[in-house]
Parts: sequence; structure tokens; C-alpha cells
Amino acid sequence: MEVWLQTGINMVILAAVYILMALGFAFILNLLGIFNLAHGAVYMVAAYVCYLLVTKGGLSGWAALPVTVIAIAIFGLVVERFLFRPFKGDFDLTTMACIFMSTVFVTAFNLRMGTKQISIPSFIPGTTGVAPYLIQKDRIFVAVVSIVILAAVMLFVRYSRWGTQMQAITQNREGAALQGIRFSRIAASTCAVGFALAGIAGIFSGALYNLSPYMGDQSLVYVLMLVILSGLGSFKGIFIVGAFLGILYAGLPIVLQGVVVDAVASVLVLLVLLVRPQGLFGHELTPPTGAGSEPGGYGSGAVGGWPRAQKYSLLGLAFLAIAVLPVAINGTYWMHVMCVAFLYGIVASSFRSISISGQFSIAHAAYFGVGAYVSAMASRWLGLSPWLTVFLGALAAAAVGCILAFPFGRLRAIYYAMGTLFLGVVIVNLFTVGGKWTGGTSGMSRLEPLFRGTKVPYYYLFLALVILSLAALHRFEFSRIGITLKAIAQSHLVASSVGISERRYRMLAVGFGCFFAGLAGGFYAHYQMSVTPTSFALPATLWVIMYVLVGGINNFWGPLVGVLVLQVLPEFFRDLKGYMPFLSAGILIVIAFTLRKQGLCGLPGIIRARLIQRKSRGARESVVGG
Amino acid sequence: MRTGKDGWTATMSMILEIKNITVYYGKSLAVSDVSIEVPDGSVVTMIGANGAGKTTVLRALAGLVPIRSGDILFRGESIVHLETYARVRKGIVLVPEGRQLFPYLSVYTNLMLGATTRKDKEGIKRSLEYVYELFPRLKERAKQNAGTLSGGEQQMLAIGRGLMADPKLLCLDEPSIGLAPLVVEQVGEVIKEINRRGISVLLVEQNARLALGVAQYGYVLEVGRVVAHGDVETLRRSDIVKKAYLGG
Repeated sequence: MEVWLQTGINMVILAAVYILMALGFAFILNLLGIFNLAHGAVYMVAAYVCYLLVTKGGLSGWAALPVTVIAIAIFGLVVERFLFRPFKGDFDLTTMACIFMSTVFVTAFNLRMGTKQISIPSFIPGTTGVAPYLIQKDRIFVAVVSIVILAAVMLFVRYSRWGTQMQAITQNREGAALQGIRFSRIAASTCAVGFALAGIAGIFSGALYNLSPYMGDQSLVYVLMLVILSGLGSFKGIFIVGAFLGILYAGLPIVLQGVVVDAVASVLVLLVLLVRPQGLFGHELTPPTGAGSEPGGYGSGAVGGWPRAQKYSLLGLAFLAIAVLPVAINGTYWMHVMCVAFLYGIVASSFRSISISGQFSIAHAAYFGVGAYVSAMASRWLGLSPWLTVFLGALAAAAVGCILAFPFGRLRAIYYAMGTLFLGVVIVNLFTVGGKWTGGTSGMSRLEPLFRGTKVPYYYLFLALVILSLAALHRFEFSRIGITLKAIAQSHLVASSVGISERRYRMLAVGFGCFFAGLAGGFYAHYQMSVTPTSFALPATLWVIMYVLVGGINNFWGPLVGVLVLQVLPEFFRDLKGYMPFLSAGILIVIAFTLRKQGLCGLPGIIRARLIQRKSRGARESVVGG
Repeated sequence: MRTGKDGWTATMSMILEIKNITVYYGKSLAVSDVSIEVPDGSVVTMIGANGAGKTTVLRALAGLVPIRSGDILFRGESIVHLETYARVRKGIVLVPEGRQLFPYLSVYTNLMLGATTRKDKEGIKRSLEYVYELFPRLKERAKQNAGTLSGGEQQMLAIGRGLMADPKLLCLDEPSIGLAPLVVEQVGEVIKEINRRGISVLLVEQNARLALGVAQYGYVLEVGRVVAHGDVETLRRSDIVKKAYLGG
């Protein structure tokens, strides 16, 4: 009896928190077409702010709750104005902005607050109920308040002026403008409301459970699950699916183990996504991402900047410099930094062969992980030499990519992004539930190394690997196949109308990219001599995307440059390392605002264009003067 | 300019004056040096084939695309610096091509969204009654989702939604497209009725017969330029219109 009572109220609380989160996320996604990967971070920040206000600020919980929510809403306004609006809803750039925001917050709170076991003090301490059947008053409070808030939001969306205008924009943006609806105003308020809802969810779960800088990542996964299941453009669906997930997550642990619950739910989501990409309740709207559905210039590969010969000689010099580096310096640490950077360079570059086909995959670190795990497992359990298993790992990753690309071929744009994000989560879950075979949450250690002793052989091996892999990837991208992939990215309809099998080519792209990600994974496992599931989880994937975006999404060398800048450069400032994420975030922002899609690789071209402009202006002036 | 033959431009005040506008989409020229005038209380039509730039002129008028040069005056005031919502507030309302309804909202909500820029509750109520009187079908289906209406009903809803904004100048983009001949006739009647209420209409059509039937003055566009204009009688007799648009 007590179990059921507790479970019942847990169901309500979980469902309410999920729905609060997901509604905010869906508002922003539907209206602005922005894939707010920072939603989890907002949830986490709200919980911490509320905690700090109560413990350090001396406010009571009752005062801290509204103060925090209002502050978070204002923060939403600021984000909309200064981060979303300047990018005009461009999918790549706003996604990057969100990733950056999320990373900064998580790192900042991790630095400041650490992972101490803390929790927001109770709003109403004590328990209630008849003797054996006791419930914390806090739980009742949270359940009741969140239901009230949800009802209010629902009614507001349905019947208020703001709500109908918001729905109008979601359904037909231009039609809405023609009625005199001001998009920017509704967008700003929607962001504020969306952030506020995430904030409320964060505070409530912070009051009932422990705080952690990483609490947002997990909840983001739940939110995506909910949004995928219910579908875009439908708010009713979110309520129904949210209730269902609440029941599932609160009810199943009675009979099943937690990890299995996760696995069951993830598989369910993937199935729904594959059968009904628009979700259970979604309208068949065109995906709201202007940039995602027709990735304008996505990999249009403008060969800007340097003339060909100059480019290659420069490249040769760079490699020469890198090749003599171990002779020049003899720090093991630096060698290690470069080794890891080489491997990540391969991973990030291989992401490109997938992304040029218009598939914004958010599972890349998971493919990297497949390579690492398969290689590690084959060498441990089959006793094979790591020199062989790394290739097994690469093949396994390619196979996983290819097989999954078949069902995923149905998905495009934002649905593809959501689906692959989920796929990554499922794969990492599998690493975790593998028990003895994968080593569970702590992973596998003391793997067979490739070389014993110094890191110098690793350095040259990985250098060669980078050169060979990049050569292969370069070949691929500029081959007929690569051109076909770019054509598909620009318009899959046109591409199929000229006889291109979209699915087959997309499969090929994913398989090819995954092969190299898996290869790097295998080498990584035997270089580090250990694997853990967390190194391949969502944050790792987000970093891969960041490397690509910072280096320049339109340029083949972009990913490599991104890795070097974000991985190696910070090492020069090792004393400041704790603050490094902020520094790199600063770099990111500057790049995002000034270079847009060209990234760092576009820098020489832009500088040259400026110089030419100045020179010609000077020339004109001198003509006028003379 | 064109005060010559008919002389009416000299005597009537203009609600809209489009002066030598040029519009580009990226690098391609869509509309070049087009001038159009709409006298207060009249129906003026723009006819022309696909790609003539008719829709572009309307989109520029609504503020959906920027103009490269030229000017647009509404009641003598330049509006080119205004955003779309501000133009709607002034009374310039575009009923776009393809209707652009909100398919998952009810007919009633669609109509009320048309009144976004208005604050006068009484006036909105009167407009709603007028729309229901004009299109009784919409009243019957008020609670239905807009996406479930037939093509003709959707066009009526689009026009009704435009009227809810209390327009001074109603711009209709291809209202007859995709409709059965009988319904096309109805659309013609509705435009005349709206005009009788004192609302000026700028009508863009491919169906020249319909357009010249309801308008008093017309412009013919070809590849982004005005190639002929005049009152409808003159236009109907002109070779260029006869050959290209009236089949003979």
C-alpha cells in the first residue's frame, strides 16, 4: 500500500516535471525552429540559483522560487535578443550557440559548486498522512503546484491572444506576419516562458532530489524522448506522452531494474521515430528549421582563400613542423596532447563526410565508442592482437552506421538530428548494461597497448593515420559520390528526380564516416588502455560538433583546425585550465558572430578580401586625387 | 503622367502610389521600375503571366521583400521603412496567394487573428458579423479547423480574415486560382461588394476576364515591367491584352 501511494505521487511528479521541461523546449522549437540543447542547462542553473538564494541569499524558499523563475525568464529574453535573433533562426549557428551556452554553464557550476551532495531546502518540511502511510509534504506541494501551472499554461496557449498568435506563427509564419503579428515580440516572450518552465522544473526536481551540474543532460534526454514521441507542433501530445512517461518511469522500477527501464523507453522512442517521424500526435508540418530543411550552403565547399599550390606547400610545411615536434620538445605531456588531438581530428573530419549529405548527426562520439569498445572487447575476450582489433572496431562502427542508416533514411533535418541524438544515448546505454562484457559503468581498463614504453611511436603512428584518413576523406568528399551527397543535401527531391538513390547514398556516407570514427576509436582504446561509457556520451558528441563548427562547416579542413584550436591551444594556458571552457566559449562567440559558416578556415579569405577592398579603395582615392 | 485620356487621376485622391520600385531576389531582378496608383475607393487590377512580377509587387507592398529603389506612398506618406505589422495597422492588408491559413486553428480563431492589430472590441464584432453575412458558410463552420475546409471556403476564409483587419486597401493575390468557374464568379461578386463598402482593392489575377470584369483600372505586367495600363475598357480593346489574355 505504502509503495503504491509513493509510486502514485512519484508518477505525478515525474510526469509534471517532464511536461514542464518539454513544453518549454517544444515552444522554442516550434516557434523559432531552434533546437535548444541548452534547455537542460537552464534547468540546472535554475535549481542552483534557487539553492544559492536560499542558502547564501537568506531568502525563504517561497520567495526564492518566484525570484528565480523571473530571473530565468529575463535570461530567456536576453538569450533570444542576443543569441537567437542575430542568427535569424539558422539551424547550425543556433545549435552551436546552444551547445556553447550549455557547456559554459555546466563547466562553470562544476568548477564553483563541484559535485557536492546538496539539495534545495524543503518548501514545506515534514510529512503527512495516517501513521504507516506517510508522504513528504514537499512532494504533495510540488505535485499540486506543477499541475496548477500546467493547467494555466495550457489554457493560456489555447485561449489567450498570445497563445493563439504563437500557434498561428507555428502553423504559418508568413501568414502570421500578414495579420500584423510581430514575430520578434512573440519569439521573445516564448523564450522567456520556455526558460521559465524549464526553471520551475529544475527547482522542483532540485527540491526533491540532489543537485548536480550534470542534472540537465539527463533531463534533456527525457525531454527529447517526450518531444519525439508526441511530435512537433502538438502541445496536447506532450501532455499525454508526458503522463505516460511519468507512469513508465515511476512504475516500472517496482518490477524492473533502472537500467532496463531506460533501455525499454529508448527502444520505444526509436521505434516510434522510425514508424512515425512526425510523432504520435504531431502534425505533418514541414520541419520548422529554415536552415535544416534546406541547408543553404551546407558544405557548398567554397574553395576560398589560397591558390592551390600555395595551399599544398603550406600544408606540407605544417606537417613537417608537426613531424619534427617530438625532436624539438621532449615533454611526454605534449606528446599526449598531440596524440589525442590527432585522433579527435580524425573523428571530427569523419563527421564531415556525414554532414555534407545534409545529415546533422548527433551520435558521432557513440560511433567512435563502438570502435573503441569492439576493439577493446575483441582483444580482451578473443585474445586478438590490438593491431587487428582496431580494424574490427572500425568495421563494426561502419556496420552499425550502415545498418542504422537504413531505417534512419526516412528521417530528415531536425527529425534526423533528434533521432541520432537518441541513437547515441541508446548506444552508450548498451555499453553500460553490458555487464561483465563491457565492464558496466566503470568500463574496461588495463587493455593491451599497441606499443610499450614511450609515446613517440604513438605520435608518428597517429600522425600517419591522420594523413591517410584525411587523404581518404578528402578523396571521398571531392569524388563523384561526394558531389552527389552535396546535391542531396541541397534538395533531396531534385536529387531523387534525377535518379539518385537518396537512401543508398546517405547510407554510404554514414558508413564511410563511421569507419574512420571507429578506427580512431579503436586506436584511442588501446592508446589510453581503457574505455568508459561517459567518454562517448552526448557531451563528447557535442564537442565533436563544436570542433567542426568552430573550424568552419563549409571547409574540408575545418574540423582539423577546430580540434587543434580547441584542444591544443588551451594547453598553452594550462595554468588557467579551469577557465579554459570560458576562453574557448569566447572564441566561439567571436567566430559565430563574425565568420558565420566559414569558421576559422574562412579567416584568411576574409582578411584578403578586406585587404583587396582597402587597396582598391586606396587606388580609387589616388585616382580621384590625381 | 497618365492623366491624359481618362483624366481621372487628376481628379481623385490616391490611396496608394507605388513609384518606380525595383525589387531583386538575391542577384536576380524581379521587378523593375514599376509604378502603380490606386485611387481611393476603386478597384485596380494587375494582370500578367507567370513570373511577370505581380506577386512581388504585392509582397513589396506588404513589406515581405525589401525594395532596392523607388518609393511606396500610402495616403501620401512613405511606408517603405515600416515593418509588415505596422503596414497592417495602417490598413494595408494582403490576402496572399495560396491563402496561408492556419490549418490547425478553427475558422473563428483564424478570423480573430485577422484582427490582431485592432483594439476596438465593438468594431471587431461588427467586422465579424459582416464577414459572416458575406460568407454564411464560414459561420456554419466556425468551430471547424481551417485545414478541413474546401478550396473555395478556404479562399473565403482568407478574404474574410483580411476584412477582419478593417482594411483601407485590400490586396488580393490570385483569389481565383484553383477554384471552380462558379466559385470564381462568386469571388468576383464578393470583390465588388467589398468595394461598395468603400474599401479600395488592388487585385492581382491571371484570370484577365475576371479581373477586367470587376476593376475600373488595370495594369499589364510582363517580365517585371508595366507594359500597358489604362481603364478597363481601353485595356480590353488593346491588342496586347486581347492577344495575350483574352484569347483572340
